[in-house]
Amino acid sequence: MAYLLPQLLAHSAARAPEAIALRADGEPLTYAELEARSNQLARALAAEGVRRGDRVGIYLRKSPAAVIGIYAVLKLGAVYVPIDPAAPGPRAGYIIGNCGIRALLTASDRLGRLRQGLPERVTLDTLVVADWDGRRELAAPAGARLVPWEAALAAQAAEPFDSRAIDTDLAYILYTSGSTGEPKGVMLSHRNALTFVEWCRARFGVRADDRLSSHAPFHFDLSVFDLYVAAAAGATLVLVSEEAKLFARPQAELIRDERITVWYSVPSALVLLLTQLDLREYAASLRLVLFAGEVFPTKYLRQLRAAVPQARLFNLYGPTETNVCTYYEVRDLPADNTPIPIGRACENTEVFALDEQGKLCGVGEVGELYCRGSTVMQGYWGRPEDTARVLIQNPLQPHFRDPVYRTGDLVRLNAAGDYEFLGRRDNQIKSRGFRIELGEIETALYNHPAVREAVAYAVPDEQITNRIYAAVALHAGATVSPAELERHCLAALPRYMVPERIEIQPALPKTSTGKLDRRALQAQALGGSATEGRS
Amino acid sequence: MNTAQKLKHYIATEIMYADDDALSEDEPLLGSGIIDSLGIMRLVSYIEEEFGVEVPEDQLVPEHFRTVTALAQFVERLQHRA
Repeated sequence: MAYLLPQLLAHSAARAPEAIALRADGEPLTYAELEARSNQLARALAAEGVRRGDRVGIYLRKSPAAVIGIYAVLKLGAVYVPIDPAAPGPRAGYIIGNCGIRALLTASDRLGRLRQGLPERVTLDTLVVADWDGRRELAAPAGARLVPWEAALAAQAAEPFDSRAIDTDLAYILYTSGSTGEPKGVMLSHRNALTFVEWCRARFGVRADDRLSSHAPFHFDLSVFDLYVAAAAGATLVLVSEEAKLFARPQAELIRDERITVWYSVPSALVLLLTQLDLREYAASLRLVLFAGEVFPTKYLRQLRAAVPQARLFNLYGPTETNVCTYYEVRDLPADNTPIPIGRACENTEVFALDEQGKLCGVGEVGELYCRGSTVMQGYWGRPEDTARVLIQNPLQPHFRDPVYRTGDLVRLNAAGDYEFLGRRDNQIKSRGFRIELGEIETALYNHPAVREAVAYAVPDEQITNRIYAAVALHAGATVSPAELERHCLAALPRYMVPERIEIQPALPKTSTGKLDRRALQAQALGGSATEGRS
Repeated sequence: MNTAQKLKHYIATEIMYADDDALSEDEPLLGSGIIDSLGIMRLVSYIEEEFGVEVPEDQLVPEHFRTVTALAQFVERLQHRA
């Protein structure tokens, strides 16, 4: 019985040690090798003082080292915290300081960003550097010890490491955009992940001869499916590099050449493939295509249906806080372009919608979606108030402690028993599958000394869900160029959150209650693009 | 400006919103947060407009976009072919 995530790997390694666990750039790693190397790294981290419950950062590109690192941290009973390898230094530094990371797995080309990005009074003890042999001169962030990866592993035994962890211990923390300007760390336990992984294995019948793509970055919760469903099944995981993800052709060739059978990504990644090339020529091996993270435009979903007629297609839904909680198998597509539903609850998970009065919604009524079950997060790291706002006692359960998660998503139950996603209660948006709080972008803009007022807003886009624009008004006498504001945002935010256009206006539109009027700006932008379209 | 200088100027000012010296011609552009998929699209439109070439779909691969130097060689090859 597996009650911890690393046991999935250990069991598969014991069953079929020579099976291929991982492929990256055509290079294979067997289950036995992945197991042995992560055991060695776990021991090396223990020798550096990392203990059960400690948070360990993983600031590495998509690579075998990152996967070894993830398992090593889990084997220690510690908590892995994947940091977007493209994140600017200050954002990485914020995460490190926020959850008290003292040990970090990284690469030599990230050290500069770390030196610049670590906040004052935040120090790292140990950095294990994946691509460093210990000879070349490297500059460490102040106070940190650099450890060469290969030598550290070679010094340790490959026998399993018993952490005595239990399934309610934290396994990982995923940082997601926060509306008050700082990212929030979603805490997930082994049980949270395993409940989802077990459901996936049963629902999708993933087997040892499957070959799964690893498209999502490890700081994105879609990666939980890729990593652990593959490990549970003893299947092969094929890493899609950050570089390849920017282009359609290398990804299509990877599907064809690696004979991928199970693909899981955000819809916009599939839209890139469908609009750039003839996917039919590459995708004959796919038997299962899963997507989540944003609404799949029906027009492109129809193209996907035609490109992979042999594959089953599933729309999965769920915020990072609950992992996937509903699913919908795509069979018949609507004749018009109405979006497909998010579907119904996964087995062993319950979802329901409540209206504004807290009354359970029936068919056709609009309400906010709630989720209860073993996949629901443990809370936000160091943010009890934020946690208490969304992780509440089930309003329908007066007798025992029964936490439910308020998603903030507005839904409607249709006559067939499937939920339809209608939008958000707040200012969270999706762009290319990334979850973005417009408030976090506005905070970054307000942090510029010239900015008096700032509004970030979303303009719907067919291929990437939303484009992000912003408008600012300046303090009297202040001057700044849109380019400088863009640069200012780039230094603080991941690129996908940086507004595509920042307009400087003498004053920003206000609502009748005096609040900044995001809708008016959105309407202006939409009106503008409609005019451009006509000319 | 030669091809590499023009490309460097475009990427530095229009994609990184910085000055030309913010970018060296051999700096990795991909996977490091400098250029994302939207950036690739903007860069391709710029290349097609500025250099009067068409970038065929089958040439949209990482090899041509890794650095300013690689990109300049790619654009020059497209110009010769045209």
